[in-house]
Amino acid sequence: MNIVACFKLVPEEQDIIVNGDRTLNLEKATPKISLYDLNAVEAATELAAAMPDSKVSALSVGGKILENSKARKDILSRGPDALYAVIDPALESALPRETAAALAAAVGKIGSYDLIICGEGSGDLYAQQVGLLLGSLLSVPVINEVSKITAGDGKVTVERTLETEVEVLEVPLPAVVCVTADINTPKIPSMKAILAAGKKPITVWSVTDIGASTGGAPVVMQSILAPAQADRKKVIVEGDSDDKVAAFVESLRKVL
Amino acid sequence: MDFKLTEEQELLLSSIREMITRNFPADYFKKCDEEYRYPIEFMHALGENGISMLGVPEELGGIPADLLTQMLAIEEVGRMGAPCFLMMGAHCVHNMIDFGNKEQLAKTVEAVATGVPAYSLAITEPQAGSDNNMLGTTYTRKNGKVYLNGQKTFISGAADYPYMIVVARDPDGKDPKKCFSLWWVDPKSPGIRINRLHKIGWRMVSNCEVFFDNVEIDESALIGQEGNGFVHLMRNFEIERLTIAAYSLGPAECAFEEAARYTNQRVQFGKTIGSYQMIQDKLTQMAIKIENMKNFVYKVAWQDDNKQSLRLSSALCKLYCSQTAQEVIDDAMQIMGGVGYTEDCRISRLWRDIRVSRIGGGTDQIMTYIAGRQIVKQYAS
Amino acid sequence: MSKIWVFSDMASRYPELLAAAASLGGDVNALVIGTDSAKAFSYGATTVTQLPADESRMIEDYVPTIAKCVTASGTPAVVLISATKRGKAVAAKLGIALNAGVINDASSVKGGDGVTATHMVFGGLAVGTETVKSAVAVITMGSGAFEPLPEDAARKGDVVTADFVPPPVSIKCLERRAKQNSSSVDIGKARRIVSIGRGLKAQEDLAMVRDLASALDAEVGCSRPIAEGENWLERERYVGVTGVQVKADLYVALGISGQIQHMVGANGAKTIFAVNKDKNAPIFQYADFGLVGDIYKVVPAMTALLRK
Ligand SMILES: Cc1cc2nc3c(=O)[nH]c(=O)nc-3n(C[C@H](O)[C@H](O)[C@H](O)COP(=O)(O)OP(=O)(O)OC[C@H]3O[C@@H](n4cnc5c(N)ncnc54)[C@H](O)[C@@H]3O)c2cc1C
Ligand SMILES: Cc1cc2nc3c(=O)[nH]c(=O)nc-3n(C[C@H](O)[C@H](O)[C@H](O)COP(=O)(O)OP(=O)(O)OC[C@H]3O[C@@H](n4cnc5c(N)ncnc54)[C@H](O)[C@@H]3O)c2cc1C
Repeated sequence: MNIVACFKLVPEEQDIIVNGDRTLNLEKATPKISLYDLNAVEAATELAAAMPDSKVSALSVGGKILENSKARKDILSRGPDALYAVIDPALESALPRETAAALAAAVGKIGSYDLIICGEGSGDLYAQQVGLLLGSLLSVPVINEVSKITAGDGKVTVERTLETEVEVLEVPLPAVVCVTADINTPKIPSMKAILAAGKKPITVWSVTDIGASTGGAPVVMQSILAPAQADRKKVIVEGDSDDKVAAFVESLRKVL
Repeated sequence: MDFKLTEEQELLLSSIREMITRNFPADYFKKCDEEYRYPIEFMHALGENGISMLGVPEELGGIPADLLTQMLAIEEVGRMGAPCFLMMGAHCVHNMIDFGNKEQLAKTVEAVATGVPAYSLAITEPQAGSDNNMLGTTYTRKNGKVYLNGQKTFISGAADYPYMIVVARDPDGKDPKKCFSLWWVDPKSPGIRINRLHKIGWRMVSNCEVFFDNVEIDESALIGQEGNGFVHLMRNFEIERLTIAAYSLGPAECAFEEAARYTNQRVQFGKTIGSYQMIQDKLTQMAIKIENMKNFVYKVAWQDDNKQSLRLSSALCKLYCSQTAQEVIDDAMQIMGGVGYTEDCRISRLWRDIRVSRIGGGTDQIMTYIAGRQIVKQYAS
Repeated sequence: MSKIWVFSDMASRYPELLAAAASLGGDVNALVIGTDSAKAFSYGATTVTQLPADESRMIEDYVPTIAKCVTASGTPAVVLISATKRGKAVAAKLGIALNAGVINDASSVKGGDGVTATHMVFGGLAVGTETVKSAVAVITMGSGAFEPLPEDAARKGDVVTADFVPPPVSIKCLERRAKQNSSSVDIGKARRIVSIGRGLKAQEDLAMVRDLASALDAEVGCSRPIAEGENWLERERYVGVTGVQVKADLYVALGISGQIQHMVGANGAKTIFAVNKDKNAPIFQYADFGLVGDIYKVVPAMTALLRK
């Protein structure tokens, strides 16, 4: 089976600094693989391991962040056989629609595929639509919230976990699925896999190479601002002796 | 001089961090320590991830890595608060590559791949500590079999590891340089009795007295050349000294970081204690010591990777790091105040564990002895 | 003036969606599967478009039908959908079918020169404000963003029926079953919440938490690891950026460290109480009242005192 796992590199949240004017300073934030995309990559490699003659390609589109060679080795250490990256200034902070259009064009350039796996949303914008848009653009079956994938002949059977129901769906291939964060626990890359990662093939394209158009974005981002912190009283007592707990409960009673 | 880690090294270290953060929280080690339990799950995880096989040749299923990378891995495990002093798998394999036979090597690799050091190394005896010429455990031959008799003590992992290497003397040997041999022993063999010692630290591994009472082994249990026991062990002692230096560095960083964070949080006399210059002075001295230890460990590892002799530098490095790490961890405890002395704070465990770096693997004094002689000799003419 | 459409796969979400739609001004057209229009009218719909019900179909199969309705009545148009899992699938598919910009999990929506909506980004660290430039905007609305309008059974309007347009590619649903460990609780609406985190050592110990909740007449909530890693409580109960954003009067956080991803869900509460044994836990930065102590000691003691 030919599987494409899509991923995004996002700034490490821990390193993001909130400026005085509530804007975010991302300069010190190192790139990392978006958390939920690790589930997509893991799902792809697990599926490939279960199907003989499978190949997993990791695919990402974006700006300069994708030039980071450590991040490239990082993704390849997690199982994919090859990496495809579309790097273009036009894709710098691209929103979902432009991202999906570039992914669709890149998938076309990669050639044939059976299944594309995306994560549920990225750690930065968490827009939760790229995979769905991608499937619709490619005019193939696409479904979100997939919590289990079983490969079959020319199809996959998936479980889709919704708010109160689970659907078991038969999805004809080729298709796109967006997996949930609890479909698997991504394996921590082994020493061996890390050292092997640098030897795997990497293909880099520009937007022109894949023939994608990037104009006419339907949505524009106006601002990203940290919320104003609610003022809290911060009355903290140390110790759990009876009188301290009693005082704590007294405060509690007052707001009941 | 290039101090930059390679991308691979950075990824290896972040994989170690991810594994410990995700699966082995401080509580896990606290519990193992309290229960005097070998952290087998953690050791298996080191095996599964390939960390225990770092530096073992690929033909043996290992993961090629220079000594510097191996030391970085030990340091990172220690920095995360995990018992890095248990990481000696690759060392076990290297010994067997150097002087073991095929079967001994295969058994070693098999164990180390699961994360557990294959064997304990039984040298020390009640009357022979620093002075190992005094070893009294003997091997004798009768009807084509070999018999071990005597007693060892302090043996790390004797109750945890699958095999044991015993250094024993040929009672008829005349030349003290040629009368010690190494023997491969199953610690469950009849005639072996193992008795755990009670220690203030290193509680996650056993240290035992081992009694040998006519323990019967085959000739094939001989490791390397008969009479060459110490010659075999010598070169690897140097690596062991460097390794013990790395065992010291990681925990010192762990304690330092924990204490430094605390200085931002703990308020006394209306200010965070970090705002007091006496505390800042401590932190500054600790930071300098950590830098020095790092540089020393990396340099000695680099020397080995570049085929230079470690004879002097490994002794200096062990001596410096084991003493200095103890100072750093002690200062970290001081910064934590009473909290640092409780078992809820892992610095107290590091404090107990670090002390033995100055005793095991050759005491401070023996390091001085080894190094001092060489220095004097260097300037003899 | 934009045409406003609303659609939800969950009937319970229409009142809020209709209120959001009303805030944008103009006529509100509710797309409803089946023939029950009264409810939509009573909460403010001016027109109801009935989509033919058929149990065998998936909700996502209605996308071409909805797209056709929207296209036929012209632009500019706004489609508001409940931010449920199916709702998001429908929204994205409509995004392509209608060449429309899509924003998910909106916590606010405003009309004007293009529709502007806000939603959380960077794991709750910040709020992104986005404007849709395309002629049609598709927005999924987070639960609790709008107060429903008062119900008025007297309100009536036009009823239109739409023909089903089959989707070009379809996915076969082999089975649909109720989710285990799922509940219909909506802690987004609860007034009081007692929330438990990884300070809990075993599932059995939930009894102690439930006791406190019942003494306070509160719902039980939790941090994500309790619902998603441990599976000790239903998903619907976890609070945070990817969970529920609460609006309670009282939030009692027990053994929760207070990571930003959790707190953005809890910060909507009027008063926050926290018990944590680590006095440096971030939760104390967000709490009105905090107690540094062991929940195993404190919680039973609190329950006993409250019951007195
Ligand atoms: C936790 C732990 C783990 C250990 N693990 C192992 C193991 O796995 N295998 C093993 O074989 N052994 C092991 N040992 C033993 C260890 O190697 C010895 O304890 C060490 O070599 C010192 O020997 P000793 O304890 O007999 O002290 P001694 O040699 O009796 O030394 C006592 C003191 O005298 C000093 N001294 C000795 N000789 C001189 C001299 N010439 N000049 C100046 N000062 C001198 C020493 O530095 C020390 O301060 C372990 C010990 C410990 C505590
Ligand atoms: C993209 C993303 C989205 C996320 N979304 C969410 C989300 O929506 N909601 C969410 O909750 N999390 C979310 N998380 C996870 C979040 O980052 C934290 O990991 C999680 O909230 C931690 O849960 P916790 O506080 O229960 O556990 P911990 O952080 O492990 O904290 C447990 C706390 O319990 C205390 N404790 C332990 N024992 C006791 C005791 N006996 N008495 C008192 N206190 C005790 C400890 O001191 C500690 O502070 C998300 C993470 C990511 C990356």
